[in-house]
Amino acid sequence: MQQELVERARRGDHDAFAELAGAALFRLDAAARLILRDPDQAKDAVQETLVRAWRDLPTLRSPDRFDAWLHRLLYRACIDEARRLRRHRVDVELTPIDAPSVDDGVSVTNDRDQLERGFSRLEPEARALIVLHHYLDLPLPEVAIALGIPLGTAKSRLHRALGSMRAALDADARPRSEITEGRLA
Amino acid sequence: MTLNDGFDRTVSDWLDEQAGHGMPGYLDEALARTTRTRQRPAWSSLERWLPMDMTTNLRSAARPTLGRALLLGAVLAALIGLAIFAVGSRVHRVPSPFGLAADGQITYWANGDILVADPDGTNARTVISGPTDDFASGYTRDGTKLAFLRTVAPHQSMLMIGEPDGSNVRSVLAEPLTDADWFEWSPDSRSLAVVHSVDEVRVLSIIDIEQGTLRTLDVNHVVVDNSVFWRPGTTSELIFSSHAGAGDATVAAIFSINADGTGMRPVVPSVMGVAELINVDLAPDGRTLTYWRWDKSKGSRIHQFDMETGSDQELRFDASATGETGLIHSPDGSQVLLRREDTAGQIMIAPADASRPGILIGRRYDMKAAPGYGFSPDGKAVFVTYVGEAPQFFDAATGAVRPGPATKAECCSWQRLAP
Repeated sequence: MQQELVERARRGDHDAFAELAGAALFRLDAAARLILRDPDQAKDAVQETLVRAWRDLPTLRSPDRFDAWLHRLLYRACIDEARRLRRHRVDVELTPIDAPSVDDGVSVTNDRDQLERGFSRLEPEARALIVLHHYLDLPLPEVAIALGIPLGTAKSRLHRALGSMRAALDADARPRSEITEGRLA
Repeated sequence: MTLNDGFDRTVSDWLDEQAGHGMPGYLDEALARTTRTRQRPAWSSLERWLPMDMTTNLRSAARPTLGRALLLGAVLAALIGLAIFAVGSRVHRVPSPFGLAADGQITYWANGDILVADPDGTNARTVISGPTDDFASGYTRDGTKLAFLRTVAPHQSMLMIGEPDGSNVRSVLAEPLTDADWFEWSPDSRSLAVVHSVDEVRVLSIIDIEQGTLRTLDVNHVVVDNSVFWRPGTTSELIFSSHAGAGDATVAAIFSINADGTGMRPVVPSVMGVAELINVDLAPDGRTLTYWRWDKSKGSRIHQFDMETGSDQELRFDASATGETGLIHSPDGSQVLLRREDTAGQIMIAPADASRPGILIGRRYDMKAAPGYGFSPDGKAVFVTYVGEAPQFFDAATGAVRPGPATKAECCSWQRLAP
C-alpha cells in the first residue's frame, strides 16, 4: 500500500503524498523534537523535510526505501536547523541544579532527569543517532546510511553517546560528595 | 562498562515517554508548502541524453621488415587506403550534433535494468542487468555510446558509460553525483553538462568524459534549474534557467555562460517577485528559445524569445486551453510538443509558429501525473510515457498510433544516427 502511494506521489500525485505525510507526521515530529529539544524548531525541520521529500520524490529510485529516505531527510533538516540556530545564539552551558543526593533515593523521576540532562548535553548529531536507533528502531546499518557515515563509525558514536548518558546516571547514583560541582558542559 | 545491560531498554522507554502521543497540528500547513513546491523531474529529460564523443580508433600499422619491403609496402599501402576509407566512413556516419538524424535503437529502463529495442519497438532486450540499480539510460549525441546512472546510495549515483550493446561499461567519475537529474551532451560530445546538488545547492557542472573530471561553474550563487542546454550553432555556450532568493524577493532568470565558466550574462530579462521562468527549450537553429513563465499577477504562458533581436512574444496554441506548458521543439524546429491543460492534460503536436491548431494525441491525464514525451531523431514519431504504463508512440504528422516497446518502463532515449 505504501509503495503504491510512493509510486503515485513520485509521479506527482499530491493526494498520495498527503497520505504518506499524514502517516509519517507523528514519528517525524516526535523524532525531531527529541533531536532538537524544541517543538518550534522541530516543526520547522519536519516541514522542511516534507518539502524536500515532495520536491525530490521523483528522484527516489526504490519506493520501498521511502521510510529510510525520509529519515535521512529528517536528519539533514534537523542538523541544518540546529546549525542555523547555532549561528544565531550563544550556546548556554548547562549547570546541574539541585543535584539530588542518594539520601533522596534514586527515584524514577531522578533517573529521567539525569537522562534528560545527559541527552541534552549531546550534540544534535549524537542525539539523532540515538533517536533513529532507539526511538525509530532503525537497525544500525540503516542509521549509518541515514547519517551518511560508515557503519563502524555509527557503532562507535552510538556507544560513546550512550556512554555519556549512562555517565549522567552513574554520577547521580554516586554519593553527593563525589559529584564534581560546576559546569557539566 | 557495557551498555547492553538494560540501559538500552531504559533509553528506548525514556525516548518513547518523551516523544508523547499527541499528533502535531501542522500537517495542513506543511502540505500547503508542498503544493507550492515544484517537483524535480526524475528523468523527464531522457532525450537530454544526446550525443557523445566521436572517438575513432586509429590503429597503428605494423612496420614491414626490410627484406620484404616491396611486398609489405604494397600491403601497407592497401591497408592505409582501407584505414582512410574506414575512418572516413566512420566520421561520415556520425550525425551532426543538432537537427535531424536517422532513428537508431531506443533505450529505456525498468526494475533496475537497462533495455534497448529496435526503432520500431520490436526486439526488446536487456543490455545492462544484475543486482545493481541502473536507470536513466540515454545515448550520446552522436549515438556511439550508451550512458546511464547507477545508484550507489540514496541520492548518490555513479555516471556510467559503455557501448550501445551494453559492453565495456565503466564509471566516468571516481565519485558519485548527488541528486543528478539533468544531463546535456556538448556539441562535440566530449563533455556533459549536469545539474546536481553540492551541499544542498543545485549547481551546474561540466564533466570531461575522457579525463573523468568534473568542474562546477561559478554561477554567482543562483540556484540552477533543470533546464540547461548547449546552444546550437556554438561550441561552448550554455543556456540555463535559474532562481535566487525566496518569496517576494525571488529573482528568476535565464542566463548564458561559457563552458569554461566565463561570460555569464542574462539572456532573458529577469523577473522579480513570486515568479518562475522554467521549461526552457532551444530551437535547433540556436536563435530562439521558449520558456514557461508564471507569476502571481499574470498567470502562466509559454513565451518565445529571440536571442538576436531581444523580442519576446507569448505563444498560444489553443485559445480554449486554460494552460499550456512543457514545450519542446522537434529536431528540425518545424513542430513542437506541449502539454495542453484544462481540467486535465493532454499532449499536443503543433506547428512551431502556432499558425494552425495542433493535434491532440494520447489520452487525457491527471495533471498531477504529467507524462514524459519527446520526438524521434527523424522527427517523424513522438513517444509519450504515461505514469506506470508502457510508452506509446504516435506519428508526428497525423497523430496516429505507432507500435513501440510493450514493457512498462520509463522511456525513452533514442539513438541518433547519420541520415
